[in-house]
Amino acid sequence: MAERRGAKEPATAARGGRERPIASALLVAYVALLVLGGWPAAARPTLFDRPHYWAQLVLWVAGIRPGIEVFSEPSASEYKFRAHCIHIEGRTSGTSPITLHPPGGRCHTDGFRARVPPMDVALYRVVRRSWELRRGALGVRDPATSDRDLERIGRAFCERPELVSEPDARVMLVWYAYVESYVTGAQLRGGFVYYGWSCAAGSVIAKHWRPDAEPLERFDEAIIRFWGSAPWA
Amino acid sequence: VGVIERVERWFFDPQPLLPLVLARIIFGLTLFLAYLMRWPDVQMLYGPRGLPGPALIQDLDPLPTPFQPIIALVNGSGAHLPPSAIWIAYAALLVAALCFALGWRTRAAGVATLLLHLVFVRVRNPLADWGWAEMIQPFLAYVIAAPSGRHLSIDARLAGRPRGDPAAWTAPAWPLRLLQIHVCVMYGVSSWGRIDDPGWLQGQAVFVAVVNVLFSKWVTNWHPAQPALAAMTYATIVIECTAPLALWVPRLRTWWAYALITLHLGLEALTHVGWWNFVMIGGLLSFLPPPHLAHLLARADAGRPRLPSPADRGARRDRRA
Repeated sequence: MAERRGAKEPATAARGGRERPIASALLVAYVALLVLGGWPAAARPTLFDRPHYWAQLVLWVAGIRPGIEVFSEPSASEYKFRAHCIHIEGRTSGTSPITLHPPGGRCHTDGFRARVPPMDVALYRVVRRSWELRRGALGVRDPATSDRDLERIGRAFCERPELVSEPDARVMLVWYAYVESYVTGAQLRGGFVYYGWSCAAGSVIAKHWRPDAEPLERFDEAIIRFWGSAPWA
Repeated sequence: VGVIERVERWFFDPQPLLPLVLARIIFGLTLFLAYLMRWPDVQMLYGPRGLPGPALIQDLDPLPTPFQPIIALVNGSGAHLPPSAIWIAYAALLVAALCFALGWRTRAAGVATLLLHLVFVRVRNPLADWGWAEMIQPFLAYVIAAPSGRHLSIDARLAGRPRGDPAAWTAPAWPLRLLQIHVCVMYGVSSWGRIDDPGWLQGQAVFVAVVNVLFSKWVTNWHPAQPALAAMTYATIVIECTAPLALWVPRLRTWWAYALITLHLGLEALTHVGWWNFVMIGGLLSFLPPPHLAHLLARADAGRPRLPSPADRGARRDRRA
């Protein structure tokens, strides 16, 4: 046994001797991709722009992110977001509106919160992305995908037990936000997206986006007139 | 030849294993808890009739990737995918992540955890999480590649492996090196990516984070604290921007690693950024000296309640008799 093990050792060593340079080369290549792909524009000579692009592409295809930006939203304007509230309710002809989200119908705007429910994050990301695609904030205006994002929410909430058997169920969504002045602390509330989806027809019944230039309060007033009431108030 | 040899030695000479063993526990528990907490919303977040829908991935990830065949396989049936399949995958992920953290069939559990996490994050719903869910993927892969189940694990117990001095545990360096490099690249991206953001330069970024309910644990009147929050913003810029270099300078490494860990603990106390801070702390352990980690481990061990040994049980029986 000892002899056989002894006989194997030189072969293993030789293989290790051949493998190490190859493995090292692969590791160096991977590290080079990571460093090139993660090299931010602010610290990158323009000479490396193209290698950076290709490295990012290769890593992206492999599903690897060199890094991500945290708290990267532009934050220099006077007004800062204080709360994003996504209020979703179901409506049928025979019953009063049913709040589907947030649970309990209350948007958290103050105090301590131990954790953010994953549904809050997911809904915010979907609605926010829809908004950004509509405005072209992601570099491209894509109203079709923007509409599909909201449609996803409409369809998903139509499957809730409270609505699934109702023939004329509708899902209404409003995204409104509180903002706070960095200078004075004054708070404003304003709506960004108002959306209605018919479960039976599988179609949009209302869709309003706050125009960029519209002051927050004025848009709310217009929508309250349109909606007939303010379900989130 | 000298350079090549040095590179080989840098990647393959034995290096401390303890940081990766601890990272295994942190990453495994992070994924276990992150998924456990979303059980009421599993179908809404990932189910066939939930938010993802059949076309979400196509909208988000229009170019072909190696995941596309998997995506087509899992999502191809669209709304006809049974909800029970999501529940089975979800339960399997919880079990695998817990096994990985505890070190039972460590490598297999790690691979299963990573693959199932990829299914949920990349195949079912990339919008269900913040960026931590993406960053943990390569970090997890490095820890799986290392023999991180060799110690502090059920596997080690079953194999009757003596514990010895944790600071002396070693393994080939390359998984540790990749984790270290990726942590530095991560700080490079996150810090230098926002260096020209006026909000950061004006010292308002931490205020923006703590005043927003979506990110803040304590939403209150933060205006009187603006100077302190501005100081925290500038400290964050300095520590994070210099981290990719300072973490490689032997005299600075430990200090910078502790400063970054403190920064993440502070962020964790004040804000919600998913499980981001735990992922980064797990990565930063790779820069701490093994004796420091062994000391922390010994202290944690001293405070841990112990199961009575057979000898203790015998002695207790004798006393009773």
